[in-house]
Amino acid sequence: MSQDYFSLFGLEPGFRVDNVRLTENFRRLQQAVHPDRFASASAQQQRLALTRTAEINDAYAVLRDPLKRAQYLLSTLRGLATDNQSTVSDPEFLMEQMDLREKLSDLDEQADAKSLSRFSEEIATRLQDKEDQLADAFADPEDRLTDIQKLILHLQFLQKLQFEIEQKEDKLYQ
Amino acid sequence: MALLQIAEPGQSTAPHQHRLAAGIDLGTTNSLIATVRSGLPDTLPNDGGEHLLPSVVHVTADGEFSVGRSALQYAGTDPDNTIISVKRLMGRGLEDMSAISNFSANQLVDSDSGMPSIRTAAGDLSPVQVSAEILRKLADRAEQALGGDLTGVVITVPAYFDEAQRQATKDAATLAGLKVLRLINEPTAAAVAYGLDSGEQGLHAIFDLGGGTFDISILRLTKGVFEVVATGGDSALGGDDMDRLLADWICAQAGLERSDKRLMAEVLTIARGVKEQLTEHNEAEVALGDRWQGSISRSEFEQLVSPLVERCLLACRRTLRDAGLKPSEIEQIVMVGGSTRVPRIREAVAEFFGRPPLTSIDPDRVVAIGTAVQANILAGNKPDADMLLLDVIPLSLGVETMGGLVEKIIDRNTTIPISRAQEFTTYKDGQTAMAIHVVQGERELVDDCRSLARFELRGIPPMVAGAARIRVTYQVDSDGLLGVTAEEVSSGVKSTIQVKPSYGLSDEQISGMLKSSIEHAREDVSARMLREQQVDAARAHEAVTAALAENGEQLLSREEIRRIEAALDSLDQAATSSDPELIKQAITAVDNLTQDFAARRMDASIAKALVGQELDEI
Repeated sequence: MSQDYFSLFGLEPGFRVDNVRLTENFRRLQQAVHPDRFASASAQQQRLALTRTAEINDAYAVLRDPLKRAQYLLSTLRGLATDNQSTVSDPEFLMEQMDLREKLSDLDEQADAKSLSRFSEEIATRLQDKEDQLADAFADPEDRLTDIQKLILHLQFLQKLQFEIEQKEDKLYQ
Repeated sequence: MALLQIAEPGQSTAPHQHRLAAGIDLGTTNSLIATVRSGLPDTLPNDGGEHLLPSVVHVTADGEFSVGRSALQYAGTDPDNTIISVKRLMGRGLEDMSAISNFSANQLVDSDSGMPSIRTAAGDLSPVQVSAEILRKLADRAEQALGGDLTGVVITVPAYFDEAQRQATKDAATLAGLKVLRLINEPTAAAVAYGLDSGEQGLHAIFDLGGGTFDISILRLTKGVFEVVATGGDSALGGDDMDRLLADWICAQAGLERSDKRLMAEVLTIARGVKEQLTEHNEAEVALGDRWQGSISRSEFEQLVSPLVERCLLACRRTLRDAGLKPSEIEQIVMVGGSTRVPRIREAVAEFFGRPPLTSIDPDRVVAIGTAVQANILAGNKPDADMLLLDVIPLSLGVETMGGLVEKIIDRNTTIPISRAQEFTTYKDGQTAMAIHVVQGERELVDDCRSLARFELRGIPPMVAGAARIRVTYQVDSDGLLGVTAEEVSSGVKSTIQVKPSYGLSDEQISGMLKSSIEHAREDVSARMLREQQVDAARAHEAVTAALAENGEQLLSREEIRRIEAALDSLDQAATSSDPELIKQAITAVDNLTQDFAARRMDASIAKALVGQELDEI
């Protein structure tokens, strides 16, 4: 399947994605090719259905997630993969990171459900803000490549932080 | 609904005979089998009219197995050779203490498969073998009732079952000589039984309180597609705990010594009877022979079990939080498991969710009934059904990287089937091999995750460190089973290896066991192989003929059609022979010739799936 992920779901390529249409089309494609539709078909068809459905699911997982979507878009548009290790000079965000890390470790001392969920909401707001900025930057990818790379790193950091908060929340329930 | 009917690829358009298929609820305490007859799903009873088959297996020194109630009779007299709750061992290791707590220490021994074996007078048995006996017993019941061999079965597993546990379940079916159409999640099956799939969309909760475990699952339904949104529960909470609390109360009232084990077992049985009576009545008599006579009211009982009810609700709250939902957002609550008959449980659930739960289907049989519906669809008996059950993987899958860290390849809650590749490289000059360690879990350290498999990729051409490109691909199929492939891509030299999780049995082990079980049944192995090939040949023939009729002329040249038809003729000829190998070759020939056609058909149906939407929007 040489089709790109966006056209697979009948979408215009871009960072802003019509989530309703994405999910709707995802389900339509599933209805058409899911291995369950071939449960009594030949082994060959079953293999084919499995491969195609796996591709569709993978594409869906990428398009649904802002970070993965941004990385994918960058790699297809520019023909370069985003490099996790690349260091972009970004002192402002470095400060922000340190600040948030500190908040998280403060919560280690006295983690209760309320303050954790308040912190989680704060991160969610920041994530949304970065996504909006990314959408702007992707409107002009040629000129704003550095911005895009920076923002992707920001998203990565914030998502990881969000994950750590969830893990702390899980511990509360154990 | 779409204006254009959504494509139904692969389904035969020609009328065909009804295929015998069944759904199996392979439970910890009891198992059931159900099928759809005259359009209605129902569980099948044994000769004595009993639907529930106790999941108990007994084996004699001569290797004679008995399953169900007859095996249960040995629980007291021959406990070492009576295997109860084998489901808890499936895909688990000896280090999983919770899994093995109800087995005596000397009953379990380590084995090569990673799963403990059960020591019996007939030798060491794998949990997979024991489960296969239960499955075989159920399948025999169905084949007798339906008057023919089963084409395929659908088996339920708990939604939280991981890769190894699903693999073990599927292996058990293979060992029992059954073709698994699909493993489905128990909560999904229960929702299907209530026909929740016929609604347009909504969120549903499945509340499953059995004898020893409690599971709560949240499902989302959108236009015939089911997704498991979140699951939770308590693996040590169930109706047995109610019996124990009630037994404690009886002992306290009657002033009994708890040291007498026999007496305690008797009290526990009485307690269970009292609990059941209180489902129908407001008051129950408690008679301990001539030792003590008394009574208990329903409200006293409810007081006793209220901590258990609270624990159920706590798990519900947590699972809703995981799903980011409020109780009021849940549309229907399906009750599963015998313990949901207790009125206080039903009330508490109704209060928590703000609406009464669905209880019209027998909670012991609801999962089996839903599974039968799905089996009927997958067998191809309802080609126009648009129900689709999508599952997610319950735990993340990753690979060990330098320093004992885990790099996740597939995140939990990803819809399956899925395949995903990640590239790694060598860290030493001239390195020719790389160890790949497949792990499962959410934590960052390998030691905190569960090891699923280890293997080595060898034959990497010597290069400087960092130059090799090792692509590791994880593929999870729609049953949640994992295959891992590794290859070196930069030099064009490919070396590929497929692994099965270390917690399963190898294919050789399974075929070995299968062979010996067939020999045990004195069935002719080669006759069985021939029959299997003939069934496959018929299936391939039917599929290709239907495909040709549907869009052969659009997608193929006249010459291509002619060649495929010739291959079909040879397949027909081969199918009449008595040589399974010959039939297999003819099937492969047809497969190879139609590979391109099948891919073009799949592309066409992908395109068509979205075309339907364009029309929809006009």
